Amino acid sequence: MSINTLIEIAYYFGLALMFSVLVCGCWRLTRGPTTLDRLLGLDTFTVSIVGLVAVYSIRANTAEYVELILIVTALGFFTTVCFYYYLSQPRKKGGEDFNLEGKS
Amino acid sequence: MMILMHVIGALCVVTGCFFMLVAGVGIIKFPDAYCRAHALGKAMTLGIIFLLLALGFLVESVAWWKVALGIGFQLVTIPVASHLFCLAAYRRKMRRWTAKGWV
Repeated sequence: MSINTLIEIAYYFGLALMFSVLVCGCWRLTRGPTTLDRLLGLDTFTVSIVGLVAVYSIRANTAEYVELILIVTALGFFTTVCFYYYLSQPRKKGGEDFNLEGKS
Repeated sequence: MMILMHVIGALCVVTGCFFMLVAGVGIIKFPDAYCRAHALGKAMTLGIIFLLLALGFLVESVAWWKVALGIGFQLVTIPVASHLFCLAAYRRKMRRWTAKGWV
């Protein structure tokens, strides 16, 4: 078995597992009982997209997507921080409930 | 030497994808938001570190300091994000799951 066959097998294996993680994130994003669970699913989505970029960049044998990895990571992190800041505001009387008690 | 690095890189791809799948299964199966943030912060960080190491091993034209910068960035951002989830849940006094039931 040549070395290119090994890398090809690793590429397809990694692609299948990365898309499985993407589906896990989407499942938690749609089904999460609270708002925090939905945000967690969104973060899982972002990290799995970073993994997909890494796996594809290995297959295409280029170094052009390393900056894309950094940028997508920073975007996901700042999204999380902004949502945390939004959720940590004191709730106004009669304002929107974020369903943080896990009802329904 | 080239063959050794390629074999190590392929093994790193498989290991990293396995750990990311473990994190995804944990995010689906765990009962409350604290446990899910734990799965995100530990297993997913390990998996993405293995994937970036594989990128450094398998692609010759990538600079090692960029790979190191990416690994450091992941090591800073993902655990901080999962701790922010836990902090928001704790501030709002969300119900949490223990072995004896929901508290």
